[in-house]
Amino acid sequence: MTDFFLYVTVVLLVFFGLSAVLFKRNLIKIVIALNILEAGVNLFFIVLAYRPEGTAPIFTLAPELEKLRMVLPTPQALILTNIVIGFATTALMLVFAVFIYRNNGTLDIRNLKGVEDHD
Amino acid sequence: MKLASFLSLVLITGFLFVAINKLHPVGAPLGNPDVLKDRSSAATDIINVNTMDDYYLRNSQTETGSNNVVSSIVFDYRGFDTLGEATVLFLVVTSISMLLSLLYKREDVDDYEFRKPNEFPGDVSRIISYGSYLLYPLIITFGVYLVIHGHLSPGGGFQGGAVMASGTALLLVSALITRHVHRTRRIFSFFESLGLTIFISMGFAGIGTTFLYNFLANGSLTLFGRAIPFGPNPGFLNSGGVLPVLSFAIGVEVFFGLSIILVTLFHVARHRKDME
Repeated sequence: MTDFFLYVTVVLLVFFGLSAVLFKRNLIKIVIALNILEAGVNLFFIVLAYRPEGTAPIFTLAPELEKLRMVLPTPQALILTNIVIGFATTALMLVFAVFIYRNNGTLDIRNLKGVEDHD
Repeated sequence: MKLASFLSLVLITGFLFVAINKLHPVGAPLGNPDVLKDRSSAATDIINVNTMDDYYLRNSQTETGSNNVVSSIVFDYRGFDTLGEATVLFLVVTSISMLLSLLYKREDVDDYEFRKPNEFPGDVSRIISYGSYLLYPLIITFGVYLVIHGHLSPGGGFQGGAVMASGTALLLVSALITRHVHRTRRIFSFFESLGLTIFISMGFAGIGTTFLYNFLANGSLTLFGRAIPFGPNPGFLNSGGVLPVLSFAIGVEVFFGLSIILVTLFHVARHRKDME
């Protein structure tokens, strides 16, 4: 199971993020939870790409080729995309939170206008 | 409703746990871990190269002239993806700017004073004012270094742009820049559009072969065209083809885009504070 330990960490991060999204009532906390979920996805890509004793996939001043091992580069490129988009969507969600607060006077999703309580 | 949430949470987590067993163990991805050791094979040789990642590791230097394989993927092999990402960032900046401009009046904006460190406002410590006055040039220099060396060392347009935008955040929280916020925003949005335009223009410049083709690689020495053989090297600035240009364009776009977000958010916060 030690081979899969990091995958378990990924699932736990996704679990925590998802449970906070589903059960928290505060919009700011939901935004934070989505960021935790995104961290889980990023960690998943990193773990997929890992190679033992692998260096960063950069040839500048790298060790000689006989000793050289590199981690897989494509997941890192995808994470680069994910981080910037994550920042942008987080900023947009926070702006929406500002507007929701101004219109409703609260960040509690139970008290928003037009939301019926199903509990 | 709560029960449905709980059930879906348990179900999704259970599926993820089951899916773990179908993945390869950590540290054993597909492909040959010793793909880099065989020096004899030429760049186009695909012996020992059985995955996309190993192909990139073997051929990014000879094909794109970039030492940094991640940069060569982001700006060359998957350049179209990066164009989409830059467009998403542009869209988000535009919508944030549009939404938040509903929250304040234009004429309230131009009243703020520009402050030098020795004219610090009462609510900001003198240490913070002077400290950020000294730190700001260093942060910008580091960001520019990351952008320029994007094809040689860790970094690139996105990271460098984000580092430079943190300099803007520093200026805002230390209250060194408060006047001309609105004018700054107009200049920022011009340069943000300029970055995206440079990126798309470079894409069309290579359209003789295909959109975003790396037409400068392995060409003229003065135009980033230095040919790089496979293997470690100290790094040459004039390599990489269109990569440094695209990296610069993305760096400009990210820096000014994130700065617009920061300035606008700061501006709304400041405006609300003044109203109370």
